[in-house]
Amino acid sequence: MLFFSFFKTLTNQTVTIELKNDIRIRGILKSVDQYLNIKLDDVEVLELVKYPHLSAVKNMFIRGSVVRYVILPRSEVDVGLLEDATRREAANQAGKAR
Amino acid sequence: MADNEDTGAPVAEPLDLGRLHVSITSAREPRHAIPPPDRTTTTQAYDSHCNLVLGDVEETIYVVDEDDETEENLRTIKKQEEMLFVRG
Repeated sequence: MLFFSFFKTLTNQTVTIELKNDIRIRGILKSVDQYLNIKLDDVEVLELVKYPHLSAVKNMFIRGSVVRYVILPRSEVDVGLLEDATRREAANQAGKAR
Repeated sequence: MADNEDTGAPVAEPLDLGRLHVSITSAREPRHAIPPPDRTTTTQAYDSHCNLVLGDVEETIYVVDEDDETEENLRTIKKQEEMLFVRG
């Protein structure tokens, strides 16, 4: 749930997603779900010459499992908050396993 | 299991190491990489699926080019990102 909440704080920000087939897509993050499936608007495919079949695509639904990286705007990430949330999540997990 | 609240130290499970690593710079890099000694990547967040958020990332991709003489050339591509989510 940690990254689900994290991505929800980043909605309406511009992110770049690299897929496991090496395609890189930049767009506005519109929504995320629990599987980290992602909806992107105003899509722009980097290295479009390699992937001309994507030139007409305006918005996308990306299945979470095909994502390799999401490149985030650092200025929009509250690092302190994220680290605290991580520690809390880790403590929770440890509590469950007990 | 050992008591491992937020500050309690014992490492009972592999992922507990991650908790000790958050915001301590580490030499962890996303893809097939030997980190250059002068660079460090910070783990900002992780979860039980090994999803990660890393700061100050340098990714090194190793590509082997083969030409007709069966000669192999190792080429590296480096990419730098300020902040990166890596799918676990």
